[in-house]
Formats: sequence, C-alpha cells, structure tokens
Amino acid sequence: MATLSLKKLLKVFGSEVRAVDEIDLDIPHGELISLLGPSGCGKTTTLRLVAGFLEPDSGEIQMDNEVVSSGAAVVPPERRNMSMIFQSYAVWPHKTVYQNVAYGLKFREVSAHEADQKVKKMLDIVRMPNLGDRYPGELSGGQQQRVALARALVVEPGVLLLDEPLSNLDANLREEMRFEIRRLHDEFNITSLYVTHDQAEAMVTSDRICLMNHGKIEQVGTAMEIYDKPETRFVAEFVGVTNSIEGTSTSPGLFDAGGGLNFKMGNNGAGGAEGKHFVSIRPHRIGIHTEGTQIDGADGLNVLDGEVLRGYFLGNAADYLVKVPGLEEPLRVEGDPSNFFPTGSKVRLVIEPDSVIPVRASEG
Amino acid sequence: MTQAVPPIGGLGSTGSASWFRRVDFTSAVWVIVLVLLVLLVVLPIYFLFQESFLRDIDDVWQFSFGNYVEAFSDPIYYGPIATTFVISLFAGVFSLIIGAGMAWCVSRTDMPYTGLVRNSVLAAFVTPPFLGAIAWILLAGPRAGWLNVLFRWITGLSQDFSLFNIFSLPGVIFAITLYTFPLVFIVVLAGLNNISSDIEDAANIAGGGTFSTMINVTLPLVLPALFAGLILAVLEAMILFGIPAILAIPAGYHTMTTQLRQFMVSEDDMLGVAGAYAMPMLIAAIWLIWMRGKALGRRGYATVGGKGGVRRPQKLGSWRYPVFFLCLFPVICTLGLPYVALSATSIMKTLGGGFVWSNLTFEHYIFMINNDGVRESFFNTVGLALMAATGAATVASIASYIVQRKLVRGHSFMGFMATAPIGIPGIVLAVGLFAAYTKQPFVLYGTLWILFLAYLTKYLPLAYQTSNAALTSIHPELEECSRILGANRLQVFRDVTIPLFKAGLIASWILVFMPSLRELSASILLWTTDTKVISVVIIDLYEENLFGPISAIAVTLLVITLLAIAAGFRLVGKDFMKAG
Repeated sequence: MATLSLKKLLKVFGSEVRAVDEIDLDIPHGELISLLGPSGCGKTTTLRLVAGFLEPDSGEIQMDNEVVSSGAAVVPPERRNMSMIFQSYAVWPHKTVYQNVAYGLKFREVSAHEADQKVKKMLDIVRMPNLGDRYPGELSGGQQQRVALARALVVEPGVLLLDEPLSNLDANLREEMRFEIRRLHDEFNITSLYVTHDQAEAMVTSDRICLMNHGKIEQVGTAMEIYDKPETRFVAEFVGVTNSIEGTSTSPGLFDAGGGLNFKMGNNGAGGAEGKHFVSIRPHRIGIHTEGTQIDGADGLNVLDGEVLRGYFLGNAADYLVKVPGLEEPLRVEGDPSNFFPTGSKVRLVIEPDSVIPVRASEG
Repeated sequence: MTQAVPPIGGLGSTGSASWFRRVDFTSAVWVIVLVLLVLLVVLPIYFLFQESFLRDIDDVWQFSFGNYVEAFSDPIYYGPIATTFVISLFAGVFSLIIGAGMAWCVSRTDMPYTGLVRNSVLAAFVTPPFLGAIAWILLAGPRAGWLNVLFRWITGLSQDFSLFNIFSLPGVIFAITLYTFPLVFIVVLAGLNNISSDIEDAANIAGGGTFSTMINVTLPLVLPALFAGLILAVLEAMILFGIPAILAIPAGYHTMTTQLRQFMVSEDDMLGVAGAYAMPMLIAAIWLIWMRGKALGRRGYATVGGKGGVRRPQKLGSWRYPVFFLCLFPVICTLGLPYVALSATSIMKTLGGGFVWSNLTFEHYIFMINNDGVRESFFNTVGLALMAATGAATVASIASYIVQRKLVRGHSFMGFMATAPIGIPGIVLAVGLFAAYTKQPFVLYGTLWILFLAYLTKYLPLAYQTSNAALTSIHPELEECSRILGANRLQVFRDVTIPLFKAGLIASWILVFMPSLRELSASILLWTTDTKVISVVIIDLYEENLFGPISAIAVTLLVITLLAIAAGFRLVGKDFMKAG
C-alpha cells in the first residue's frame, strides 16, 4: 500500500547539468508507471533518487505522504521498504537461487518457517520451483531475471523499481518477459516505477507512461493518449513514426503550413496553441489514392496532391515518401499493400482533420 | 499482504539523518587511508629531497648544492652511473629479444609444450635474483664453477683456463637478463594474445603476405607491448641491488645501487650525498614509468581488444622441436641449473668434493636451524612478510574500493598515491625512509617498523592493482540490490562485498607475502643487528664464502614460497597470479 509523489524534484550533476529538472509526478497506489525517454533524459537518475541512492538538490519525494527525500535529508535505501530490479539482474553469484530470494526477508520480521513458505511460493510463481539449489552461474539470462523478480517481490515492497530490466535479454525473451512483468504486477498490484527506453516495453507493461526529455517531463498518459494525443513534438516523434510540420494557427481549426498549404485540424490535441507551433500526422492516418480520385465529402477533409518519391513494399504494409508541393519535407505515408503505388506515381492524399494533431515545440 | 514490514522511515523518525549522512564512516576511513598513503609515499621522498639539499657548512646545517656537486664530480662516483646505464641497456635489449621471441613462439606458433614454457617463465619470479647470482657463481665461477670444471675435463685444458667468468660485466648482464626477460615475456604475451587472427586475416585478404602482415599489422599492434616490456626490463635492471653486489663488486665495478649503499655505510655522514646520488635513479624510474603509461595508453589495448577471435598458429614444420629447445634454454638457465646447483650444494660437504656419498651432509641445514642469527632472521622475515602482506592488502583493498565506487571527490588522487611507489626504486625508498625515521619525532630506525614501512610502500601498487582487478568484476548493482532489500552499509559488506572480494584479497595478500620474504634492496640499508632479515643474512654469508648454508636457506625459501603459491591456487583458483 503505497503512493509515491515527486514534488519539484531537482538533481544537478557537476555545476550545471540539470539531470532531473524540477519534475512533479504523482503515482497512486498499485499503478505501474514507466519512465520513457532517450538515454540521458534523466529517467534513471529519477529512479535512483526514488530509491534513495542519490540525494536531490531540492524538491521532495513522498511515500504515503511522508517525506523520504528532500534537499535537506534522505532516508537511506534500506529503510524505504522498496525493491529494485537492476539492469544487470544483480543476482548474487555466491548465493543459491533460494538464498538470493530469501535474502530480503532476513531484514523483516518473518519467522524462519514463514520465510521458507514465502520463498517456495514465490519460486513457484516465477516458474522456477525446482531450481532453488542452483547457483546463478548455472542459469540462463531469463532465469536470472526471474530470480531477480522473485527476490524483489518476496519482500512485498511498498514500491517496486525497475531499471531497464529487460535490456540485457535477447529479443524473444524480452517480449516474453514484458508480459511476465505485467502478469506479476496484476497479481501483486505493487506501486511500480519502470525505467525503459523501449516504447513497446513501456506500452505493454505500464498503466501510464511518463515521457522524459532533458530532465523534464514532456507528457504523462496512457499508451493510447501518448500515441494518439501527443502534446509535444518530442512525444509525437519519440513514440512511433510521425510527420511533423511547422506552421501557424491562423484561426481556430486552421493551420497554415506556409507555401499556400492550409490544414484543417480537429479539436483533438491538447498541445495546440495560437501562433507558431507544429502539427503531427501519423503516416497510417493518411489515405493514399490514385491521382484525381473523387473524394466524398472533400470539403471537410484535407486533400493533397503529390508524387511518390520512394515506395517500399513491406508485405503487411506499404511505406511511401510523398513529395507534396508547398511542404519542405516529403510526407511519410503508410498505405494498403494490395494497392501499391510505385516510385514516380502521382497520388492524392486524404487526411481527416482529427488526425492533424497540434503539438508544442519541446523546451530545450 | 499481512506481512509485518519495517515501518517506512519518514524523516521525522530519523532526525539526525542529514548530519549522519555527511559524517558517516566512509569519510573517516577515507581520511585515514589518504593520510596513511601520503605518509607512506610523500614523507620518505620529502626527507630525501630535504637531506639532499642540506649540508654541514661551518657546523651549521644549511641549504646547499654541495651534496650534488660532491656526488657527481668524482669519477669514482659517476663511473657507476655509466656502468648502470650500460648494464640496463644491454639487459633490456637482451630481455626484449628473448622475452618477445619466446612470447611469440608461445602465442603464435605450433611449438609443442607451450604451456610448459609459459609456466616455467612465470615460475622464474619465484627465484630471488640474488640467489640466482649466487647459483651462477657455483656454475660459472672462473675457477671452481662446475661448467668450467666440466669444460676443462672435456677439453683437458689447464686450471688457468675458464670458459665462463661470471665476475665480469657480461656476466652481470647475463645474470640480470635471466631475471628481467620474464617481465617482457608477460607483457608481450598479453599483447599478442589480444590480437585475433581476424585482424591478420583482414590484412591477408587485402593482399598482404605472411611476412608483410607481420611487419605491417602484427608488429605495430604489439609495438606498445614491446616498448612497455623493454621499459620494465630496463627499469628492473637499473634498480636491482643483489646481482651487482654479488657479481659486479668482485669484478671491480660499482653500479648506482651498490654505490648508494657505499655512501650509506660510509664512516662519514654521507646521507645528503646519498640523497643527491639517488635523484637520477628516482627521476629515471619516474620517467620510465611515465613512458610506459604513454606507450600503453595511446594506442592502448582498445585496438588490440575484441574477444572471440580465434588465433591460428604459425606452422613451424620441422623446426617445431628445435624452437622448443631454444625456448627451453633461458628457462634452464633461470630455474633449472640454479636450483640444481643450490640443491646439490646444500647437501655437499665441500664444493670441490664432487657428487659422491662421502661428500653428502646435512650439516648446512643443521647450521641453519641451530644458528641463532639465522633463526632469528627467519622469524623477522616471516613476521615482516605476514605484516606487510596484511597491511598492504588492507590498505590497497580499502583504497581501491573507494576509487572504484567513486565514494569521495578526488578519489583518483587516492589511486595515484597507491600506485605511485612503482616509480620509487626500493633502494631510493630506503634512503628516504632512513632520512625520515632516524630523527625525532619518529625514530623507527633500528626497529622492524621501518622495514615494515619499506615493504608496505614498495608492494602497495602490486596489492592495489590486484584488488582493483578483483573489484572491477563486482558490479555496484550487486551491492545496491542488497541495500534496497534492507541491508545497511555494513551488512552489505558482510553479505555481498566481502564474500565476492575474498579471492582478490587473498591473491593480493599472497602476491605481497612472496616478494616480502626475499626483499633485499631496501632491507640492505635499513637492517640493524637486531632486525636482520634472511636476504641480508645471505649477503653476509656470501661475504664469508659460506655457500653451503646459503644453499640450505635458498632451498628452504623456495619451499616456503611454493607452499604459499600452492595455498593461493587452492584458495583462489588458477587465475590468482594473473591480476598481478
């Protein structure tokens, strides 16, 4: 039972690197939230601040409304009742699987018998019931990761921290373990903070995603919100593929991309503002048709003519780069592969106003 | 979730957390270790400089360059500098040729028994050079040396003719080379083993022949290692005391190390002159170490690195066995012949008595056990080695832990201090320690403590490098994981760090213990009648020509050393000497 709350949290490395730049984040009990962002965005620093391995320069971290870190003082990691899964697994090579899992219970008021029960049950849950006597050196990477999970969960922590837990696994295993982590979270419902740079991992495992860049939070939301309603250009470009177009909002619902091109926008995006900004259009939200096709209800849609610069047939989809007069960059378009347009084709593009999402330029 | 968990410690319940955090025990340990390192390294060097610039002029000690003028104006004094230069250069070059050649054969050819050759070269480190020199007197002394006797017996030449004369400049160079070429061997072997055949294949595919590949690709890649090996050999040859003391002095030469001792045992107070005379050695040593770092650092092993490459040996064809015997020759000269000579001598009544039953005796061993002086020096030596090993392993592991975990600001300075003694030749260190600890307030001269400090300082870098290597393999997350599951700093040490670090700790302990048993170049300036060590006793016995007892002691030392190595292998596993 734990809530976690970060308030104006600041961590400066050296004299001016603001690794975590006054961020605010509230995590209700039982939520799994992931910190997603490129390397150097401050996500791991945030995690280590929460764990108590780092001391903030200012701001606060509260756990169940009690301050555990502040600019003035920090509760040491061992008294926070948290667990952590590390990138390197950090399974102790000199202890057996059983001893690894049982370790944290030694610091809690648990009888020997009870501890034994808990460890055995947990080994069952991570599907390693018969491997308690093995040493980590005798296990595969995936099995070591399971030991790390069991070890972190057996103490029933208030908060579970995961630091890129899957980045050392090979691709197949990584996919399997994503679902495993989500399954275990559904079973134990522990408030969790999950650091990753892999968007698919974040989308599969988490309830909400917190996108970070340059030490700041860009957006917090569900996978769907992040993907469909990005608020900043960074979010739109980091999660999935998109077309970012610079321009100005002239009147509500109308976006002037320059070069005589105007886009109709829905009132979908939260990032829209008057004046200069960007719009984001996902490639698969752009319909692609033969030159001159009559479009029903063309008045309420954005209809553009262009030429295919490159067409790639991918089997399950077709990817295009389409040059549209008036736009500096060609548009990326994803179409139906059964109706493929080779390079050089003249095409007509159709975009619904709701697919034109106004986004802010990111700070920094 | 009914489990009784420890209460989450809000700040209200800790109160003093902030104060405690900033003055926790790591700070105290760090300050103590840093002060210790500074005392160990800086103090002797400071007093060395001070003494070298102080001179008694009209009964007043004052600043002067007089010591330097005296030390470098008399041919008797600057002659040894030239001798040392010649010896170091020749020993260095010969070591490079032998060491690099053997390394290439072991690493790159299909020579048989490469493991045997490699291990015997490594085993050469077990022998103290001064014992090797004494053994070679038994073998190649001009009159009674067994090789000369054998030669005269075969050829029928007269008593006056001798094939070998170990008491000569070439003799000294020969003996030194025997104990410096393994240094080159190790460094070059490591360099060669790191180059995978892929790189050479790439050159072959690009059109280079075998020879051209070797010259254009392999050679430049191992060049840093060759250079580093040469530097190590030259440095070692320069700072050796035992071999020149035993072989060069009878031949009428002094080297810088033996001349330094002359100053220190002089009737007059020549400590200042000794200090001045030590400076060129100190500067040369530091320069050589710096050059080595530069050679290895610039192109480094990064290019050479890359795992997984398979190395295909060069086919030697019918040369396989001749090459093997050629490689065996230096090993025989370094280990085989000397230990045969010493073992035989230790059980022979007289040297000239031949290998017959009537000449067999155990009196030398009995002498060794019954002689109070010898027995006492054995106790001193073993006691000192135990203390030095424990001290160095402790200081080194704490220092390397602080450096690796970056626990404090300025941690790299600590690492520098722990490795700095590499650049201080043992005998120079001894002059500095003598200068520092013969006057108030720290009078340690005449006690075992000054020898302890000498050993501790001299072997600290060895222990530090070993600890460092062991700590690198312990990922910080292993400790952090223990921490977050509920262990405090001390419990983390008990449960994770120490169990994982144990092997490295034992390895560095043994790697200091072994050379401490036979340290000579610092001990020779710091011993007093009550604090003799076994190496000094051997030099005394040599001056009395008592080869029998020396051999008995040598065999005993070898047995102790081998036991230590066996213990090391048992406790740590076969990799334990690698880190050093």
